[in-house]
Amino acid sequence: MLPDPSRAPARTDLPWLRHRPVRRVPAAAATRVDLRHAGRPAPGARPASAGLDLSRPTREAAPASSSLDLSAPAPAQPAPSPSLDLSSPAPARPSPSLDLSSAPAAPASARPAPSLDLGSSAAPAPASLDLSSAAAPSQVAPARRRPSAARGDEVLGYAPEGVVVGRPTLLTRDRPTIALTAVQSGVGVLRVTSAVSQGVGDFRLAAFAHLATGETVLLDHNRAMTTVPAASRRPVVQAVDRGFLVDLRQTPRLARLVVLGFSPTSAALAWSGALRVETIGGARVDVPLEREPGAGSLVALSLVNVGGRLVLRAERELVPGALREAALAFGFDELTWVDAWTPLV
Amino acid sequence: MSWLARLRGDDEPDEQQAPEPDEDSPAALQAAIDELVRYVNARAGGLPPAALVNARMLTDTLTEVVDSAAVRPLDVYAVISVRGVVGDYLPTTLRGYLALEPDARGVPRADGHSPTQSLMMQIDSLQTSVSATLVATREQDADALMTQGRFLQTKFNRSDLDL
Repeated sequence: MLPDPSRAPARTDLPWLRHRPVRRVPAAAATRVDLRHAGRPAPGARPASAGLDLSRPTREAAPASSSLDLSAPAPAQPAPSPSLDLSSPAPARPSPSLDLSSAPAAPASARPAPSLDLGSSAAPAPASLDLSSAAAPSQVAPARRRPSAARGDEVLGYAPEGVVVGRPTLLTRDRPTIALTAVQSGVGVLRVTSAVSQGVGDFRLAAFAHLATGETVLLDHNRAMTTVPAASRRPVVQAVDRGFLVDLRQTPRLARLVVLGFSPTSAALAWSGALRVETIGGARVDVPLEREPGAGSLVALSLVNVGGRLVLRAERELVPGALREAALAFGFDELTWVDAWTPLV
Repeated sequence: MSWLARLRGDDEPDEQQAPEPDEDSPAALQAAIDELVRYVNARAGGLPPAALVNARMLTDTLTEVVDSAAVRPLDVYAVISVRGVVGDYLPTTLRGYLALEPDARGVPRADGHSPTQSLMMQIDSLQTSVSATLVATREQDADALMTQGRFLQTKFNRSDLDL
């Protein structure tokens, strides 16, 4: 006795026998891409069209037409000619079409169709995405030009990577820079701290800050150079024990900050550890202090204020010599020095 | 050494002569980029912050191009591009800007752009060029990987022609 075919298990080893039924789209719901070039009055009946019509073809018209016609079923048409017709069929019945025509003056009775109109339409089409140059220019507010480095604006010329809140971001050689958002750069305090073991040696932290006013200041907590501007009661940057605090409410006053590690005795240090940069919102950036052992100043981190956004970069540059050499190597050349370690305040 | 040279008593050529340093090697290119970075950093005080950051991004992109030599040798066009930007284009742009008096840097010139705007545009143009080089280099790497994949598939899988 043969088993009931309806209960037979599905055959998965004959995939080529499967076929998918063609889904018929109802004519009224069909979406049509109509690249008509209008300007002409819409004829009542659809003329012989060879326009780039992406609507669904009718059974009758399709064999005779040589046009690219993916349109919805249209009413019966006269014998179409095999020509490229950019005319405006414009049926009276509105259809949700992607209309790239140049504005057929819609019949007064016709409801404006929801269409993508790239033409030079003069007719109102409230539901359409009209990229034309027509309409009333006086009514359109001039678009605000987006700043661009390619046009000479002083902005970032690239899309910077950001910081993911809740997950430390490590700046490495392959990804040496990130940018804080405008909010992260302008709210609260940015805390820069060092995490260095005793094995490194006689490690100290210092920083050079350059303000928008042009003032350049060395920050060294161990020598009581603790505020920028110097001796300010409302400092933009403040040196604390093993770190710095940047008052982000005063970000516009800060142009540049460079943080470096050094040995006050010029001893060679076994560089290791990291700088940790934290925002009040929980964003954290780690900057390694990894270098081969050596003397000098290890410039680890730079912050640059670009239009209110702080751009952080792991510099990883070991500058031989004293603090003066490090200052000159990073463009802080407006300081006057008493000796190689002490600027004139 | 030829027998004629030996008869004439010519000196033996120094076969242990050090080879000429290859200026187009990845190490030499990276050293040139590092030198350019130091040049940019040392002049950071005279540059607009945005120009400084964009110039450093440009040097990062140059480094990425050179780093791709670890996978496959650099294309000659990539070498020319890196050499040109590092040795000429960017330093010339920066030198030209820094040579101006600070007061003149924001004053529009005859073409309507100030020197600062021109600096930003020139760095952006260089970035566009080097980024295109990097993309082309990476596409070559991707193509090489695809070719390797097809080779392995043919070598270790049954051929479609097998019965």
